[in-house]
Amino acid sequence: MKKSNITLLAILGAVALVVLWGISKRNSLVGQEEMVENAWSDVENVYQRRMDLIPNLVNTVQGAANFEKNTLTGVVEARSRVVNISADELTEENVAKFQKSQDDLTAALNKSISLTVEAYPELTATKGFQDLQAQLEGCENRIATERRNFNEKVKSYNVSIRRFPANIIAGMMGLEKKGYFKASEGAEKPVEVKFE
Amino acid sequence: MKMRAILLALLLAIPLMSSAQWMPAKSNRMVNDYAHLLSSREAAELEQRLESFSDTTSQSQVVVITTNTLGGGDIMTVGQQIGQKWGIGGKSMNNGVLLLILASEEEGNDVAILTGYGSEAVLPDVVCKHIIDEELIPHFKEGSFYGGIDAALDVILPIMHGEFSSGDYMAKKAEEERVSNIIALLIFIVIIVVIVWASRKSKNGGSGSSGSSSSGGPIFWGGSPFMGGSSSGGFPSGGGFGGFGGGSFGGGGAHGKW
Repeated sequence: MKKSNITLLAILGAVALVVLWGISKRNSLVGQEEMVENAWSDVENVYQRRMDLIPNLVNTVQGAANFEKNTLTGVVEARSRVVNISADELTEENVAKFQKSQDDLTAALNKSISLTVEAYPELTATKGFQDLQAQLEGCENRIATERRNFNEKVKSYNVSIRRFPANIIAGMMGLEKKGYFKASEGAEKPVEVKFE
Repeated sequence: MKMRAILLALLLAIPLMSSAQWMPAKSNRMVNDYAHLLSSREAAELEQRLESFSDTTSQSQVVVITTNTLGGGDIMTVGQQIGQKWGIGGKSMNNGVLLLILASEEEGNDVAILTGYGSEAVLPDVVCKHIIDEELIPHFKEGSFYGGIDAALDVILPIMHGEFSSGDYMAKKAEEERVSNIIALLIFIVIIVVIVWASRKSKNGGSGSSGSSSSGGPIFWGGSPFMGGSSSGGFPSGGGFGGFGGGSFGGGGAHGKW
């Protein structure tokens, strides 16, 4: 009688501990996933910041005396092709798509700006253009920072959901590996916006 | 398999890449003249000015670092990482600013103003760029590092003074989260105590044989408050006397070569 009571209690205690462990693990995974999603929204914000500057760039360059339209068409086109993905579908494929479209925009920006500098040297001396330069550089720095931060969060999340025994909980929750930014050319460094 | 090997190689490469980049150990001073561009009296004067600024404001911290090398890193990246690792500025307001000066014959002369997340609003990149071009570089070209830093601080400190409305809100939110974590911890302790107490009681052959089965229920359901508990990452290690507050940096700011 007494002995069976103790056994029952021990089993209940063990079950309770396992359940508690499961709950706290679940919560920490939820927390980690949330951190990844927050980091993603920071990434989106800084990219959006750069997109918002493009009209300024267009206006500034259009102000030049002998402005030619095709100087900036590449940028405007690349901007319209930018892919948006929401924080709950951060698969490797989606992140890669997003990265590709934004990297294309970076390339288009750099190309257009060097074209502009060539075509309108007097423009680069104006205050408006120089301020734009500082802003664009700031955007690239922020993008590099938030991408790094996002990758760190994804890395620790991906490790967490695959490590035994937490992977059992992750499997029950249906959590999947998330994508991150691949180190492409000059990845960890902010892209240099060249004006000179 | 191949994928995994590539991944592993990348993971191994990351610490190597970041270790090449210059990263000074966290100091407890505002002015860190590693490149010896200032006299000891000048450094002490700036130190005094910046410490009293941090004390009289809500941990608005402006840190000056000079160096002869960045270890091949980019000045904005290195600066952002120093600001983040040192935790310049208050943790909830992120109102830190880092003035990073590179004076090097091989790597060139470069100066950057890095703004913490909370300082970006009052010190936009364009303003930083102007401070660099109009306050810092003219003095630096004449060889007066103290003059440049002093002139820049004359602009930066008044700008940073005041304007913390969004930071106040964030501080409040962080406080709320801390309280909910403490409550969750207390519940957990209570459950453990109950388990220990119940098992000890039955070992002693205490009264009430039904006690064991009834305690099973509350133990199980007692865990449910955990469901909603949010986990907030690591706690800050620094803070306290004369230290940095734990502010975060997002790459804001500007730099200029001279």
